[in-house]
Amino acid sequence: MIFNSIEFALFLPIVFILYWWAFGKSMKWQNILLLVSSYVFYAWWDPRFLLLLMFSTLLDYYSGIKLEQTLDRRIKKVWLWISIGINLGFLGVFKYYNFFAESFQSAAAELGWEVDIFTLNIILPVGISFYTFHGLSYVIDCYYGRIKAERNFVNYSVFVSFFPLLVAGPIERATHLLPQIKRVRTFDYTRAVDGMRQILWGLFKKVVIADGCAEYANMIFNDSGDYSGSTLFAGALFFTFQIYGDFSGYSDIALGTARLFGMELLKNFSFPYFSRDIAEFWRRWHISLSSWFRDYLYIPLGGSQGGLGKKIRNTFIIFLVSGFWHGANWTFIIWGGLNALYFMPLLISKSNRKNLETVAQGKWFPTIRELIGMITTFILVVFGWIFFRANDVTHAWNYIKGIFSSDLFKAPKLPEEADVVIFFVLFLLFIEWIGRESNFALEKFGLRWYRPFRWLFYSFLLLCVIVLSGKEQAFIYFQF
Amino acid sequence: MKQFIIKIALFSLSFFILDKAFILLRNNAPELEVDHRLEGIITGKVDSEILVYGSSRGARSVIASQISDSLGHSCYNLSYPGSDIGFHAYLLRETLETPGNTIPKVVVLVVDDANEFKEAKMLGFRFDRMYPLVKYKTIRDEMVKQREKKWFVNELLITHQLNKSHFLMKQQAFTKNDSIMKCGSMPIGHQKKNFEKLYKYKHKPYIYSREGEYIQKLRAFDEFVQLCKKHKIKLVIAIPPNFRKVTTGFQQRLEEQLHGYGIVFAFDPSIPEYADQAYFFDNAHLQTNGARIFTDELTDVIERYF
Repeated sequence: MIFNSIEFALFLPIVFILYWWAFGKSMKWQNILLLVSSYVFYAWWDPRFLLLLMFSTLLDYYSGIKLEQTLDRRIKKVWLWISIGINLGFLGVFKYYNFFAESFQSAAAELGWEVDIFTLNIILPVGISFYTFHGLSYVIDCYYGRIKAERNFVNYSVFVSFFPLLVAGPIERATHLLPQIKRVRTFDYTRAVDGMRQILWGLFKKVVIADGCAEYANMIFNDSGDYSGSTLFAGALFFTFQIYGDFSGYSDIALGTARLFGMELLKNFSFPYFSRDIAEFWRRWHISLSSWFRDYLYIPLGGSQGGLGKKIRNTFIIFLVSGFWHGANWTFIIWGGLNALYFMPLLISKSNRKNLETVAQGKWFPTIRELIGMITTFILVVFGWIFFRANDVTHAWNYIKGIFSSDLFKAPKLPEEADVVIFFVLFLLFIEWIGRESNFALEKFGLRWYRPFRWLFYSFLLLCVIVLSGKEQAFIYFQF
Repeated sequence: MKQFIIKIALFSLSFFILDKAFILLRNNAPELEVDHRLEGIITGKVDSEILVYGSSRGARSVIASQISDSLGHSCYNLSYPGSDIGFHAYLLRETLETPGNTIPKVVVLVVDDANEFKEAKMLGFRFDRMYPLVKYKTIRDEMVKQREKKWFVNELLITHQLNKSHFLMKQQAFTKNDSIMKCGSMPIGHQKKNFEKLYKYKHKPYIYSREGEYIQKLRAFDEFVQLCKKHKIKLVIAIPPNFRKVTTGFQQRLEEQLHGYGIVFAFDPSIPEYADQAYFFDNAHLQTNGARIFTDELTDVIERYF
């Protein structure tokens, strides 16, 4: 089931009403309802993979208890590695096996050896990268004693499978979500209204921005050889807003939905396209993944401790692994590597933690310096996305070469209807700029308006969503 | 909780009322269109003995008025650039089932060599041609059938029936490449920029393979043939020339898929103009001068049926 579907539009109110009206007095039954509905939500896509999710949940639940019960450090380590090994094993088989097999085959062919390796004809279970990381963080936290092992299987299962975050995050931490699951929840009107606003804004970003931009990004990327430099650059811009609208839209819907059930999920996006440098961008883009890698990979590797060489090594590792997490393709690895390269000047000059606060805080406009920083960062990000979107490295390279052709400064050739999408992208940027100091753009926007005007504004957003919703387009991050 | 539900209900109600205002936008859209062929089909105004269906190859390569003039029988071109066999089958079905339309004697289907049954990025169901006509229920029903829109929401909300083109609210005009003659044909009198550069190296013979054929496209083709059979319409499947690209086996594949009904007519490769770049717009489309020659060839085939 996807958020921008009729099925979800029916599913959500049913679960919501049952949750507060039928089971509102029992936290235990509320959690059981959440678990059952989460499994229904997941099985709607493909029930077979529900077993994989259940197995992964059971494994980490049991490992957590064993890690807590065992006092012997060596046995603890064994349990930790069993859990990590099996979790990553599943991920490896479903997501990376074919990539490694084919890469090995190509490398062998380059050396003149003919190696016949079988590849697997399997589909990637939706959300496997996300729920695997949920489980891993829990087990690692249990190992280090940061959290007590959860003894209630239903509670633990809800933590892994809570439907708003199940298939595309945010990647939650047991330390953050489990206490909320174990706490009695009462209906909070303000929070629920806030949640609805965030859902509406998320739907707008997904249906209007992401799906609208996807049409032109696909058109240009699919036939990149036929377009002028300026049109190719426009294609990269369309993809830049497509991926932002798609993923941050999903996160907004997930966070808003969780609020309807009285839960707060980790913030995943914080207006990344207003970043003044690449380090700030990565503090604002897919925050739950970046912080996951920081806590469970970067810091164990030594983090910022040690010399500059070690810092550079760790930064490259984290970006390359992050790229590879996104998909089994060299394009993602190069995308990760490119971002690491972008990061280097900041790391070497020790200015990677310079822009910690929101840009132009308390002001309407940024300074010239901030504006230059924002534009430079944005352009670097756009070029990175070309690798992310391209079919392969050659495609990406030819695309970039195509941009720098003689007709780069001519007007791009786009269908007339693209103007509507461009208008909406500008509208998005405007609203997000106004709301950049909030948790999400609409959090405070229009709250002081006279109600009919406020409702008219929400109606406008809803209208755009309804007009532009046709065939349901899956979220990009489902494939990761 | 109660307050929350009441607010949501009130908001939904006010949105529902607001939505109805968009009926004006929806109903005005057909008047802004320049291509009225589909509207003609669904309002029962098609009255020709010979009808031509196809994608841009049908629109550019067959000049319907030339056939009418040569045979003395009315001919109309209902080809849409960028459309696939699914859309052609839909157009034929609508033509035959809408009261008021005349059942044609001959139907010509101009096929895409060699992508008729395969995935082709540039060919699809032309929803963009249908959106301006959503005021007609038959169009709305087809969009639901094609899963472009959801039935329930489509029935409930006017806004769900619209798309972004409605908000341009601009009178459409013919473009250089998409001007429609009175007979429905869309020939082009110039050559694509960088034509030689683009197609210089694409001169390979191509052997048709069934690999990659889409079951949906095969079904749509079968539906097209069956509709002709049911209404006793003579069917001609026409293959216009490509520039410097020869597909072998495609004609045989079409004949096989026809299951004995209708004929396949392919251009005559010995005609020297088909090897001359000056007669092509690009590698897949003839220019007006080339279209005249191909239409002459096609006219000879159709003549047998009168």
